[in-house]
Amino acid sequence: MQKHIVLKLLAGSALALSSTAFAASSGSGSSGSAGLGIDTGLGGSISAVVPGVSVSNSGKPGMGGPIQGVADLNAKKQDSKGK
Amino acid sequence: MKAKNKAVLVSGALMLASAPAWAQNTAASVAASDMKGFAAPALNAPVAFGASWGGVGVGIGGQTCDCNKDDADGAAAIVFGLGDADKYAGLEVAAVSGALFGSHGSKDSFGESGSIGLKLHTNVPGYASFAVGVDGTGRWGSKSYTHASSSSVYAVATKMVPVGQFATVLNIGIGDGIYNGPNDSGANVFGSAAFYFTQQISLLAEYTGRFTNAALSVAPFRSFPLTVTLGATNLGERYGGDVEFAGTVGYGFNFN
Repeated sequence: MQKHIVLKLLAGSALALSSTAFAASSGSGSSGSAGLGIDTGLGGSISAVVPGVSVSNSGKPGMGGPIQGVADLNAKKQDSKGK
Repeated sequence: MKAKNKAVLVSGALMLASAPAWAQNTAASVAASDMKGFAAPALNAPVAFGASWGGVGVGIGGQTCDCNKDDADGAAAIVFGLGDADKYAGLEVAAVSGALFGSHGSKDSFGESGSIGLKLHTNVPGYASFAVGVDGTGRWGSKSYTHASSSSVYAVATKMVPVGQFATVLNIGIGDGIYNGPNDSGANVFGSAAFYFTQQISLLAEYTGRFTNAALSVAPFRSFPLTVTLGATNLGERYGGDVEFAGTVGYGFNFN
């Protein structure tokens, strides 16, 4: 389990590092209507528009991503109110 | 620019470092599965979590602007996921229609112009996620749309951080293209912070690398995965623009 977590952290760091280098080296100009970026930017923010797509409860503590975290904290709050 | 890159990486590491003790509560996780309505953590900024296999959704976004005859611009997207972000990595695929208003806003009708968004994302312990992605790739439609700009790439980290009994979702990333100034080359930093009063109501502020925005997001139904987010964009009135009204509506869930 610990080895798995370390691998996940390394993979996440590698993703962040590689993309940072890529993003820093590639330039581009304005996008879409008057540079608003809405007409393409929805591709990156769509999971914020529909946060429920990320929630698949694996039952692993602390896993599932930030929205699962919101759900778990909410459930814990409701649980404590019920007691 | 190098200093900004370092700041992003250090922030990401700090976000990962704090895994709350209450995250060990698996009983709460089970109870949470009954709740399907979630408020949004961001308006226009990319987030690091996304759809894995079983995740599907549809959303629209738009805002007022001085950019065309309709004084409004918008887009619609369908999204699905592949893989497993908890186990290894998930790939989120979004098909975005760049035209919402038929022939009034552009020469293309709904669906005639658009692009693909791809995001490779992974979840790590402590309710955190990392992702790299590209927006606006694989464009189709009229030349005015396909030649508007190149695609934008980004890297982003997102984490849920509890504040007392409330949740916050913090998000920081770096990207080029639409995540940088209209005439700037290279990359810029973006980020967002959302405070969740409940799972169904959040108040958020963000900087997209281009605009500063604020919004209120509501999931009106407890067990129906509809999310409505309304707010204001370009609060700093940058690039000669005004503060504009913006909103998104989305319906998405995971059938796994």
